[in-house]
Formats: sequence, structure tokens, C-alpha cells
Amino acid sequence: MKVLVCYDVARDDNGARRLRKVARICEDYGIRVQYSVFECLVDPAQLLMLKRSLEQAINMKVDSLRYYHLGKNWKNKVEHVGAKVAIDMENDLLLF
Amino acid sequence: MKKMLNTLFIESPKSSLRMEGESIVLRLANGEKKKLPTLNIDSLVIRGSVYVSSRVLAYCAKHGILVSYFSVNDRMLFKIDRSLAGSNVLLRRAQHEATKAENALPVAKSIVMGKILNQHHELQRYKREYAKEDRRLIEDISKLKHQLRYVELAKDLDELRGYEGVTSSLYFKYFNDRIRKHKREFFMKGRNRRPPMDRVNALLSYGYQVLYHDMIGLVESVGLDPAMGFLHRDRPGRMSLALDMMEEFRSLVIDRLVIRLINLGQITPEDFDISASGSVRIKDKARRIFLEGYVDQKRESYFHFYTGEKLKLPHLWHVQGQLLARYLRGNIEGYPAFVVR
Repeated sequence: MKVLVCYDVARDDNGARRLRKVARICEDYGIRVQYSVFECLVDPAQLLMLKRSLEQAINMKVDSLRYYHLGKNWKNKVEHVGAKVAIDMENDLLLF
Repeated sequence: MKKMLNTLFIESPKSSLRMEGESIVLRLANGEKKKLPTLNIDSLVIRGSVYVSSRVLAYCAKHGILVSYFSVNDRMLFKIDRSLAGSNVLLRRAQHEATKAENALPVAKSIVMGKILNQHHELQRYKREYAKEDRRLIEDISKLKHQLRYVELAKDLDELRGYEGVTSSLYFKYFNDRIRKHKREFFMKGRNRRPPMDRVNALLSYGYQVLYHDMIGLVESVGLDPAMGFLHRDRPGRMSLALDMMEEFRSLVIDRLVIRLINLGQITPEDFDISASGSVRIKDKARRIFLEGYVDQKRESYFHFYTGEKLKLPHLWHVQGQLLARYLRGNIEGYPAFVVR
């Protein structure tokens, strides 16, 4: 299933560090579609792991995370306009 | 059910693969950088001069991602054995026992029968669409089907291979007829390989190599040893069981794809380099088209008699692997080959 992960990390003293950390975790699970937006193709167990590591990385008081569960038929829920079309890990041929 | 994951093909020369966290970072020769999570990849096919860091290889070995390395001439040079991740010594002992020459016949028969039925299916399809009146073809189709009876009665592997040879030549006899575009350039004079001497053979050989990679993955993912086969006997460097598992799918997957790509004009006579000695090589552009077609083909669903469902090819292969493992464990009477309906 597809989960859209978005985050906001506050710019306090440690903000830049947390921001990098959050991005790095997301990169392990999905494709970056915009600056702080990731599309992750995961199963329920993997999602749990992703959530856990993200929630440990952020500062709950000032940062926020949003998960959008797009499910299996996410294709007809997503529309892209403009540059930087992201790779679809499920269906695109990964040929470089 | 096992999740269906993607294969990462790296064909661009001078590109590199590195690990960063749990994702693979691909850097192309033009400086372009891509980060791919390994979560969604289950095999890696590398061809030519690509730099791969040892961490990538270690990660793949640890997580059961199959890595195959092909030379520029499309020969498989090595694969990373993930036997540590998925091997089961008891199953392998059973496999060793069952693949001994005196025990191998039942499974080998099933495989050959599956192959013949699938070849029969392809010829029937061709007849139905293009050659309803061809007396010669109708006769050969029934001859081909007749071989099944002999296969059933075969007393040893050599005899079995003989019948397989007869059906294969009956089947390949019509290969040129099934090609309907650029007939003069796409003409095969029998099967030949290493090197292939005509365009059709070049495409077939390439396709079989790619399928071979997938079959090794299939066999290893259920914990079997790809080198111990039933129909194909032991030979160093040959993954006999992977070759066995291929037999049911050659005509269905690769032959059909080759014919489709030619007939739709996606691959043309100009897509090949022909050397002075007559050996034929596929140009890089056409190879990409071929792989795209292959991946499309893998997404097609086929009805599987055993599960009673329509399955996409990777799932279907996995089911076949499990059925074979189940047979070796003694849970089912025989190995049922896949037959297309």
C-alpha cells in the first residue's frame, strides 16, 4: 500500500539536524516527491517501523508529521502536474 | 502471499551504485543521482562496466536480493548466492536425492509435458489466428501432441530428451511463419547460440538469459539449490534447476515476446550489429525496448490450475517453486508443471 508522509520540522537549534534525520529515514522507505513529501510503498509492518523511527526522530512539541493512507488503488488518487515526475517503485521499469 | 517486487536493471556504462542507509544510490555517467529504497527491490541485474560498492553487494546478500552480472555480450558471469538467507539443508538433501539420475524421471517428465503443452498452446493460437487452413501445420500440431504419449512412457532421461527434441523441432519449424514483419531479415535457420547467427536467435538468447536470472531467483527464494536439476544434468557453472524451471515458460514468455516485438515493429532489422563472422548483437536501444516488453509481460496474469486464481508471472513462478519444494518434502505426489489455459 501507498502512504504519503509529510513533515514539518521547526527551525530551532537542533532543527536542521532533525530535518536531515527525518529525511534520511523517509528515503529508506520511499521516494521523495517534493521537499518534505515522500511517497512510500510499504506493507503494514514496514509502516509501523517507519512510523516508529520517525516519531523517535522528531520533537513532538514543535514538529509535525502527517500520514495519508492512499491504500492499494492509490493510482487514481494521485495526479501530477509539472516537472520532476517521481518514479513509481511498483510499476515503473527500473532500467537505467 | 509473497509480495511482488521490482527488478533494478543497470545498463548504463560508467554508472555507480552505493548504499546510503537502507537505500541504493545510483549515479549515472551524466551526474544524475537517484535514490531508491531497497524495500521495493528484489533483484538487481547489472550489465557491463558498472561500479558497485561492496556495501551494496553485502546488503543484497544479507537481504536476499539476487544480483546477476552480465557481460557486455549478455552472458551471465556471476550471481550473488543468497543461499545463507534462504537455504534449508533438509530440503536440499531431499533435492539431492530426488535429482539423482535414477529418481529424476517423474519430475523431468512433468516438466517436459508442461513444455510440450505450452508449445502446443502457442501453435494452436497461431493456427486459430493466421493459418486455419494449413494442412501441414494441423498435422504437425497433432504430431506434437502425440509426443505426450511417448513422454508418459519414456523409460529414462535420454529417451525423454529425444522426445523433447522432436517436439522442439516441430515447434520451431513454424517460428518463421509466426513472424509477419521484415520477414527477410527476421528469419531463423534453426536454433543457434554462442554466438547467435541471426537476429531472431539473438533476441531469443537474450530473452532466455533474462528469464534464467528470474528462474535462479525463483529457485533460491524457496530454498532450493539452483544447480541440481532433474532434466538438465549436473555441470559446473550451470544452474540446472533454473534451466528446468524455465522449460515451461520459454514459449509462453520469451518466444511470445520476441514475436510480438517484431510484429509490432518495436524492434526493427536496424537494431542489430552484425559482425564479419556473422554473429549478431542487439544494440543497446533495442535491448531496453526488449526489457520494457519483458517487464510488461511479467505483469500479465495467467490462470493457475492449482490456486484457481489468475496470477501475475512472478507470483505464478513463486507458486511453482513452492510446489516443487512441497513435492521434495513429500507433501504432494508429484510436481505439477504449469500449463497455460
